[in-house]
Amino acid sequence: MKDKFDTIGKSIRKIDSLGLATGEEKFTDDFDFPGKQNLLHLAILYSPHPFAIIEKIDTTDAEKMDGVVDILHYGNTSRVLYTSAGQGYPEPSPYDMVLFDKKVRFVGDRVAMVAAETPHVARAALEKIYVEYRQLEPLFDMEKALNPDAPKIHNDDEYMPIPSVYDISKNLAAEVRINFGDLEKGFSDADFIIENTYSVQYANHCVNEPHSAIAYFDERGRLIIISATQVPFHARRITSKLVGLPIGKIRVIKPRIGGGFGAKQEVLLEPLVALVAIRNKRPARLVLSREEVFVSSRTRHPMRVKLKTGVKNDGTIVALDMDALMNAGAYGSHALTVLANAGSKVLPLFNKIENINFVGRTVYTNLPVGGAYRGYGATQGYAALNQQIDIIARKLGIDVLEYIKKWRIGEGETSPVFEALGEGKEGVKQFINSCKLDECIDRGAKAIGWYEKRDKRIRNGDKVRGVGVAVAMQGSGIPRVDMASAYIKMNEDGSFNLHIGATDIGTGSDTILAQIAGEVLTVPVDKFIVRSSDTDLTPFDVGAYASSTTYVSGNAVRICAQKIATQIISVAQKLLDCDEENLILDNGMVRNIETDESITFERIGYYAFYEQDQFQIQAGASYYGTESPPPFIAQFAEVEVDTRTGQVKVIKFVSAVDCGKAMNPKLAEGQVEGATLNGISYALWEDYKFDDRGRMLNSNYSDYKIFSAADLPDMETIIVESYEETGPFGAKSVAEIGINGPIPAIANAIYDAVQVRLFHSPFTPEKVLEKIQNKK
Amino acid sequence: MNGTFIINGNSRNFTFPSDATLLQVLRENGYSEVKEGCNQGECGACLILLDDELVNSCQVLAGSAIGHKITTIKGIGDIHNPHIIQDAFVESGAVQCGFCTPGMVMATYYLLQKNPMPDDNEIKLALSGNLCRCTGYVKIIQAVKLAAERIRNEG
Amino acid sequence: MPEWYYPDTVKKTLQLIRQDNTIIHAGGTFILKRNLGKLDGIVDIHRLPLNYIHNNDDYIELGGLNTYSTTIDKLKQIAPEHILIKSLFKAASPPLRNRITLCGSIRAFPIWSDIIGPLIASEAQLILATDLGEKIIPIDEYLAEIKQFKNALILAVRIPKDNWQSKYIRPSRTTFDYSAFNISILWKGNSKNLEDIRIVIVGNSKKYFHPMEFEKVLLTNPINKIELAEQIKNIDIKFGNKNLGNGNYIRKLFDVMLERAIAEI
Repeated sequence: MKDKFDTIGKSIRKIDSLGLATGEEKFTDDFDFPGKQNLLHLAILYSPHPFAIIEKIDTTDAEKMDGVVDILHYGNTSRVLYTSAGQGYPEPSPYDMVLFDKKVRFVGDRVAMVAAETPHVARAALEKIYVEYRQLEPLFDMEKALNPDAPKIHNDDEYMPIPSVYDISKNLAAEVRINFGDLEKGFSDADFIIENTYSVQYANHCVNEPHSAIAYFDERGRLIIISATQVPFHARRITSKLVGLPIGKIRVIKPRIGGGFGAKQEVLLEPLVALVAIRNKRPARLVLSREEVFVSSRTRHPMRVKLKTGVKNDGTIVALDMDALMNAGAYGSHALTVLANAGSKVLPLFNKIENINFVGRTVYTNLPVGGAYRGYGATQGYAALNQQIDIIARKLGIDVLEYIKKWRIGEGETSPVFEALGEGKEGVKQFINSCKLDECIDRGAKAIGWYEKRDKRIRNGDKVRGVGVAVAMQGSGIPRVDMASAYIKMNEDGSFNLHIGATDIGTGSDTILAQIAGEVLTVPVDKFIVRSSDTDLTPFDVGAYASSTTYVSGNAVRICAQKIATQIISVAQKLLDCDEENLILDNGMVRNIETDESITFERIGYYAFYEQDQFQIQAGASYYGTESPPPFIAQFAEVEVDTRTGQVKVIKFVSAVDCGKAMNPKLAEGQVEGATLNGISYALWEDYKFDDRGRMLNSNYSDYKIFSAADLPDMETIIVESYEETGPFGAKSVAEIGINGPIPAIANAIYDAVQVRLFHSPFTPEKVLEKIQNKK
Repeated sequence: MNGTFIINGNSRNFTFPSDATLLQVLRENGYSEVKEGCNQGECGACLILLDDELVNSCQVLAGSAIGHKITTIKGIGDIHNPHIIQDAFVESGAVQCGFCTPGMVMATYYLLQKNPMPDDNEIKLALSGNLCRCTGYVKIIQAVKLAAERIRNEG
Repeated sequence: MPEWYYPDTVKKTLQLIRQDNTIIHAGGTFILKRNLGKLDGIVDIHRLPLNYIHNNDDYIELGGLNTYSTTIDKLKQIAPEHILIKSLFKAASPPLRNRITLCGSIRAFPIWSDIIGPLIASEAQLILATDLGEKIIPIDEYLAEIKQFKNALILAVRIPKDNWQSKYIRPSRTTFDYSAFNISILWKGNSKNLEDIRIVIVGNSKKYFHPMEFEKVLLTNPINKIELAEQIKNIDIKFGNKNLGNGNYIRKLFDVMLERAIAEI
């Protein structure tokens, strides 16, 4: 294991930062392209009803409007079932959507789409489309979805493309079950039982850049799509299927993208712009408004978790029964996989529980649609588990930090859950190679002042302070599913082209992957010309999700760079006329460790191109993980509760994360800081409000509040380094895990302050005050 | 309607619908560095200087800005000659996806002109009209402080 | 599509806004909420010389085109503790404060307004330009008959000068957020000997409220002898549901915040 690095572990400036800070780098809607003067702008007509059949659509008046070029709806498009979930093929999500359906299933569902010469005309034309709906009885309460008399939201030809439980006669979009040991016996052995119901609510990613896509034809008549997507290759494949154009005739380019967080792990706009472009032989553009992003794109899946744990007085959890119910909304994108993660990323953390039962179900309702959202099920599961652990520790009268340290999974250990619960496929057995959770807990506890504050209920007039903790693990890619590849070629001056499918969504993967290649080839990052996420020019990568980029794409880059190193040395060997064994790469040169002779990459480059036995130094490599080594995190919240108003203020928040070796510490911290603040805002304020007809009432930033800099608590991030042998230079992942702790840490801190427990986020002052007053 | 604006020092004449916002007019005429995030004046991605005052360009009707001076982020510094603020953002790791960055830089520029030595609280309030979902603001605040220090040292 | 006008006299302005389907553009932020494409005319009043501040012994007069930012900056020079500085600073983000004007926001008076409360408490007057000439009226009269002044232009705000102490209370979820309500408190004297007090609440179900009986109680007894919580419970004020919580919760919050504010006097 290497312990001294030249580029790895350095907070090197992200290679696109300056371009972004000067406004030079382009996002999807910023580009010029052939035929832009002929661009068609798209506007979408959405359903005003939660559940209805479209009896008739009359577009005659709209078609007559000056500047209206095309109008699409169920009557003039094919019915091809698909899932919009940006996942590998076959997607582990129900094929329950068509581009334009005859049924609408939530307020905000797509009814029709206008293509016009200007955005203004396109929007105006929407008002001239007359739709006759036959309304159906809607379903909003997910707890009622499985009832035999509940309205059936999907009841045509929808199906699940992989073997998995799927039953539209019950509104059941997904079901997951695992069972180990003997639950009944476990509970009978317990000294006490803790049973609670927790829930987390709807949320929006609030991506800085709304979803955007452009489609146009190049000079050879191929369809080019520029899209703000986390999954360019999945977008290409799914679009191909929907518009009937072969994959080879489509190119998808992801430029700079203004945030993803899972919102853009979805093939939402690409088929629409593609279809209009193909039908009209003109470029097409669709950019969602903020309201459309809130209502009609994707959300966090709300989930209710019933958790029953049997515990012995020595702290052993002898039985755990988890019953999770998740709300898919109107369509089942990620309905199975988010659900599975609520078990698979959560239960192994306390791996000494012998008797486990986990039943998870995802059901349809006539509400906005859940999708991938940072944390991806783990957030929901940990909201429940971390509060339960706090309750158990308090009942036992011991410090919860000591309890966690005693019962958590450790290096060399495994859990039967890994194998039992995959993401649509079987899971993969794995052992933990690296885990520094104890150090995370110790350093985080010190930073928050745990022992000075816990149980002390420090008062300031009517306000009381408390501290709480939450721990989590996530994963690093989906084992045996996620694949990444890289291509490198050397230029004669010793610079390299690095082509990666990996998708930089602001995370800095372009930079980090160059750092990895640079470490192997002993050159700085600025020697790499990085091109990513272009389906024509870069090799395959599943895309930015499942915290896979550093680990999976990073390994692909490392392997590829090593192949390049081998080729470089083979040329050097000819030039230096010596044994290859004596040659090493050192600082952009090849050096003979015996004679100390060296030659530059530039010399090698010119030789290989022009002099003798000419060839292009180039290589490609792929990688898929056989395991998914989890990062670990300990997060601490200090809150101040106003006992007379119920207002909760987060005073300080500390996150201590073991992400393996941090490739670029500033970028790693940035991931944790962003995820954590998102989690805090989610814990306190974010929620979807609906009227009694399922219409979202707060689909704008005035009503749906997220934190600004003015609301930032004192936030500290501690990177605790471990070394993951299977990862590139010891790396695991870091992008999602930070969002898992805030809800339970804050709930636990509120309890520490005022001895009331809130089981259902968001923890609004109204809820907190009611609990405080009921306690009296 | 028709109007002339002075954008980053250049006189530009545009034709636009009379209900267009300044954001629309700017983006439709090549100033793609001004971003549209919410179109409601809440997220700050569209911030520009209008006659040296920081405003949300989505909340300004183009008709009311005719003849006035507009500064976008490209008027502050470019890739060959970045402003100290832009460089400080890069160095501090304050740029993740970069979509909020033009607005953040404009708000920082405006702040430091009025208050060259802001404390943490003043910085936070000055940026309260800029939303960022990527960074959690921690490194953005560090970038502002770094920029303030470097501008002061430059004299 | 609306036609734009840029009048340079008040007379021309009044003529233009008398037209059908024509609106005034001051800062422009409130009118953006409308469907502008359906209007016939937009009257941009920025050529009018309404950006001034006059400061004499009796009052401060601020021209209607002062933005929240220029108002704060100008008041800081003259009366750094003025309640309007406290309220306007919290009213919106910095770029929005650079656009929202006094005349625009008084006329629009949204339920979350941060300007109306302090002006009512200060017993401010508005200088209006109407078809019948210039009028000076107290702000609460203006608000009571706001429809009558539809075609009037708010030229300036006149705030009487006095040696008030002030507090401004504004609960919201995050820093940049519309408030659930706001309370403007002006007083003279101290808790043992309160000479005068004015309390104005904005954001209740009737838009604004002046708890006169509560003020009387405060003036006729020393504050530390009053059962504040009891007295406040008797205030007949209701709140609708807000983003911060439902109407019942907001009432409870109001009671606590008012009690704390008075106790701090």
